Amino acid sequence: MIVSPPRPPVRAALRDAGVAALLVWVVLMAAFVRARNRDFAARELARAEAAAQAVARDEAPLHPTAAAGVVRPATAIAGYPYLKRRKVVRGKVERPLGGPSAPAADKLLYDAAARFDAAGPFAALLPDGSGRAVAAVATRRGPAIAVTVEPGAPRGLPWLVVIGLVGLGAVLAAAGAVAGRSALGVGVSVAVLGLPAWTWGGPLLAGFALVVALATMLAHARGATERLAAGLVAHRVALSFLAPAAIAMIVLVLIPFVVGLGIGFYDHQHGSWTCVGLDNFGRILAGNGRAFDDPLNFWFILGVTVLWTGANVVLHVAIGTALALALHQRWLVGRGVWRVLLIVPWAIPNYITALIWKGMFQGEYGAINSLLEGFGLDGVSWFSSWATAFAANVATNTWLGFPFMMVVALGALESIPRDLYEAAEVDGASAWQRLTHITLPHLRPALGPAVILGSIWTFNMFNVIFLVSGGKPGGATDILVTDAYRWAFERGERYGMAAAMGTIIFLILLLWTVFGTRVTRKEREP
Amino acid sequence: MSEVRLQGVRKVYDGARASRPALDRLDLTFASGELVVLVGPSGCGKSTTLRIVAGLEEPTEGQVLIDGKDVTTAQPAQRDIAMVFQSYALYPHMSVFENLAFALRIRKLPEAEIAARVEEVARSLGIEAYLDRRPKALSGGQRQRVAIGRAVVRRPKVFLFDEPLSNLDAKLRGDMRREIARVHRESGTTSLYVTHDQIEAMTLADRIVVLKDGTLQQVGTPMDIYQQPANRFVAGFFGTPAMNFLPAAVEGINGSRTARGHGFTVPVPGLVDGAGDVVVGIRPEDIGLEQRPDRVALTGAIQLREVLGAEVVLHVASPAGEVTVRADARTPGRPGDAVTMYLDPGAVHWFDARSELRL
Amino acid sequence: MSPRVLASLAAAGMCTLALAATALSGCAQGGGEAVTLWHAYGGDERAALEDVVATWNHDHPERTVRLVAVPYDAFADKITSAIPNGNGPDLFVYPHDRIGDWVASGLLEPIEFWIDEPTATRYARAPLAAMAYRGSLWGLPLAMKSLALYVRTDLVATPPRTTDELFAMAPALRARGVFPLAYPVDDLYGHAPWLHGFGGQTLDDDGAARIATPEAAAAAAFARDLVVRGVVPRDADAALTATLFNEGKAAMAMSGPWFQGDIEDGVPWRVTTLPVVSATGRAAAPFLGADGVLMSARARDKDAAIAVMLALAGDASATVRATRARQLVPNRAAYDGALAADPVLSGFRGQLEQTVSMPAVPLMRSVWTPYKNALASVVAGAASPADALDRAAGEIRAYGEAPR
Repeated sequence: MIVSPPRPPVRAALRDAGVAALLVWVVLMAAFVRARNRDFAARELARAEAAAQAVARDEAPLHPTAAAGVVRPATAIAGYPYLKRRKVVRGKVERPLGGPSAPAADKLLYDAAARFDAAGPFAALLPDGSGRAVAAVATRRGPAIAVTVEPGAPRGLPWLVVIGLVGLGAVLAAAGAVAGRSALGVGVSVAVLGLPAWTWGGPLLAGFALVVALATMLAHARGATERLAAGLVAHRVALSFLAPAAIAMIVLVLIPFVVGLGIGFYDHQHGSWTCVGLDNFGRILAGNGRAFDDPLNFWFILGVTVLWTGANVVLHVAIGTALALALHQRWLVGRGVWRVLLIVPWAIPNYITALIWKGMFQGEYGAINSLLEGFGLDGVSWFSSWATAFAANVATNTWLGFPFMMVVALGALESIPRDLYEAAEVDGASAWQRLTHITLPHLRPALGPAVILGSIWTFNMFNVIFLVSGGKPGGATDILVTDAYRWAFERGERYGMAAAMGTIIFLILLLWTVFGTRVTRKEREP
Repeated sequence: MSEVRLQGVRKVYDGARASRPALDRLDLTFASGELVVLVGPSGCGKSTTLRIVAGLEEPTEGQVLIDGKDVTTAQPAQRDIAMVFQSYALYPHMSVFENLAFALRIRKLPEAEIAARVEEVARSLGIEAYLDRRPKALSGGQRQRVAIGRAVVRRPKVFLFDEPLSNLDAKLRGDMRREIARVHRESGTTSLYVTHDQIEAMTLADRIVVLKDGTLQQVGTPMDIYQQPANRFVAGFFGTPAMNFLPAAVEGINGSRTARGHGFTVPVPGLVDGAGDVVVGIRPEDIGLEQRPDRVALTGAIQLREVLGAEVVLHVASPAGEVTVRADARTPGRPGDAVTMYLDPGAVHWFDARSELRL
Repeated sequence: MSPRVLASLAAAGMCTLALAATALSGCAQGGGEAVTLWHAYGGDERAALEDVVATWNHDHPERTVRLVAVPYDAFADKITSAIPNGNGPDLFVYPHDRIGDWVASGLLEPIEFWIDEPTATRYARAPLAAMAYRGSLWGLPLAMKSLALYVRTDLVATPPRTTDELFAMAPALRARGVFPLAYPVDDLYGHAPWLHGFGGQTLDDDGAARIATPEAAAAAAFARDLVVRGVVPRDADAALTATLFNEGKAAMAMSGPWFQGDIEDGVPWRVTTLPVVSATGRAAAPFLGADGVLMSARARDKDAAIAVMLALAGDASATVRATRARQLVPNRAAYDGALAADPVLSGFRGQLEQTVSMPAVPLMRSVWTPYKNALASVVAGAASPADALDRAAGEIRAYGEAPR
């Protein structure tokens, strides 16, 4: 329990009100900027529209324009349908638009006319990010187009309002503290920010400000804020050591994770984002409308992934344990050399290993088929059928993965006290009985976490699947991660679907970890 | 029945550290039913001897016979021996019951008999309440009882104890010592017991084997060893506080020789054949602080007074060296006081100064 | 606050700043008066481009060009993310098939405003048309790429003119352990010549998928035939194709201009056009890819940018690039001189008459993998051509659907 001297209520109230107000203020700033830009754009659009109308009536526009005029319909050059000739009319003057040294302002008219031809009358901001707006209005002679000039700087923050609000908030908080109802004072002073929130973000943002005010009020009344502040102060040295790592974790892990989670609720196609809620998840879990044995069905891929993980982990543990037992024997010569050699598969980057194995499984010239043919058997077309392609993937990943289990098992073996074996020898146990009654039970608690880790890594082993079989035949050996990759990069940049897949994979592995840890913990209990 | 015999046993370890053999020509016979204690300082070879009898190590030369059968190269499982380890070596993932039953199950005894035996042994050792627990959940003393039980339930020809009480605290050690003595008495099985603690050796042994640096120093009953130590090492090893050793030189001719040390003179009895430099050994309990007609006097100053409760141990600095004296608790005498000690010449152990053997 | 706490907080703050600085330093680009040009060239092509830019900078010191090399793998993604944030280049060089995507995202500036007829006639028609999309022109072509037939002159006396001749070559060559032709069979890019030769297409002019047609099925059956009758290895990728060609285990290879760098010294070879499909009498027509220089919609000084573009795609620059880097340039004038006689360039130019421009429609990018799966199952005999293509067509249609 943290015991801190009783703070003067005014200071505590001001601190809590200040922190909460700061939080709300950051959000308000973003809303302010958005609202301001929107108003700004709306104003420019309105000006452009008015100017275009004026030009249509042959009048002078009220506000200055960068370019204005009525553009004649286009005439195409023979053989070049995408090169069109246009002319612009302003007053009585007609001149051609275009050519290698034409002025940039004319191009705005030309492009706007092209857009008018494609989509009809419009008013929009220019895509060059300059803040100018262009509007096109239909007339008998052709579209009347106007482009506004570069607008001045948008208005800044209303500083007087800010100072006034800060001051008002401080006064209210202090008053509440002095009057004995400091929680109320804090709540009211934060709620005051609801007014600019309403102006800049509407009822939603005002509601947000009120919720924060209420939460702060309750926290303050219960002393939660006081305890939190005291805790931070008491642990400030520890927190300052944690800060760099925490910031790195937040930036590199937490934020991408949250962003990925969010993207899963959108659909992205060819550059446009649409919010679709749980639609992506629904589609994935419904199997994309395909049969269960279709490689594009989520459940099929999940089945393949689970089978892939299971086969690999079993092989890794079996081979790793067997080799660890062999390496542990005292009579084995050159143990150090063997140990290094057997770690090498794990040490080589698995990208390279996967490519090498893929070459070995190649149909006509691969090493494995050459070996088989040397023994008089037929070469196998490894990637033409599911079973052989799957076997090729498993072989590669097993080669990659057994050293890890071997190292874990070796470590566990070295920690078994020798006199247990001696006691068993004296008791009459044979070598096999010593193995099953002493060695294996000691290995189990060490291998438990290793199996959980290994299974997670195998579940997400992108490199081997993608590089060795590439999902062949026809995507049937794809696992969940490679399928997510394909959504992102081969099916039209469907980032929403890929992110949804990623979230689903995460949930599956989370469940597995929780389950696995519970089982391992139970084993360790007496 | 179950006699254990070691003939010419020699053990040499290869390697840079081995400047001398671990065991050098050991010839020992342990009678059936005897509890023999192998005692000596660290590195003397006692554990090696035990492990060779157990079959966990093979001697470089020599034979091991159990019950007349040459088992020198036989596996431990074939020797019908049971061992209690210093670290208990209980199977951590099995319950106490399963620990006790393990060897019996390997020998494929019927389950009913296994259960009966295990329960009987557990009851006799007082651990029947823990049969379902894992070793992790037991205290040190309870674990040691389980280890002993595991050996007892086997009903082997020979019990082997490898410093079983070293990991226990002093009070427990006493209780367990009595437990082991009882087990040996009730089963009548030949037992080999290794320890570095001379008190355990004295209290438990039928016979003691004293080893030092791989060689046999003396074999005998506890009283023999205590009263007639064969050399200075054995004399100094047994007895707390240790025997005092005072250098002296023998003068005179047969019939009236005296040993003159620094600050004292002791007459040499005719039976003792010493000449030249000798070492006079006298136990602290054979030195008194009261003058008596036949006692030899030695003066000195008290350096330290250790109070043991029923008696005190005085460390006295004298011209002959530092001398320890056991005295009654009521004896006055503070550090710094001068004191005269009276040695009993009849209780003196004579050792040749060079060979350190008993004279 | 004790000095120790202050020090540790300061250290924490500096670490964070350092982290942030490292993260942000990768982002900042551009700025200044120069026109920024991104490219993904390496080797000779890069040297040629640098020559051209150096010449421009020498002649126009008041509007210099800043050349930035960006790795090819991440190039498209960088463009897509950098330009909207204002961090992108003013101009960049990239193959034309992403134009549709970028136009849909509003990242490109249409340039037909500045292009008059004399400028347009500088280029061969097909490459320039490849730079057009939805009625506007979005860039100027710099180089063209298509597949053609590389022939080992020591193994093949006369290259086959028709596919029947190709099949006829097989028995004699196979007896010596040599494949007549090597190329990745299941990849749509390598299969396209046959697809177009049989009269099939991938996307039609409106951008709709036309995958499951009888012509496409015939082309897929043809590909299977090639493998089954030993003309083409079943399982070759680009690396293996090069190895087989170099080692003399393949008499011919179907590949593009980039293959020249893979051919080892001492291998006698030449380039010629692909054979005519005997079943239809049409020439096998590979995809035409055009590398072009494109302008960002956010380019700061568009007049300077277009001037640079016109120079880069101009005849002088084309000559330099064709001579130095063996690029197949679209400028007609470049072939007036010595280049006209260059056998390799002539070989590719001959093929150029028979090409189909790679569709720049965004949907095209979803076509590759389903088509590859379909071809793989047809070649393996696991599915009939019609079924496999139907399935691929269904997949592609699903990927092209707008969200509900």
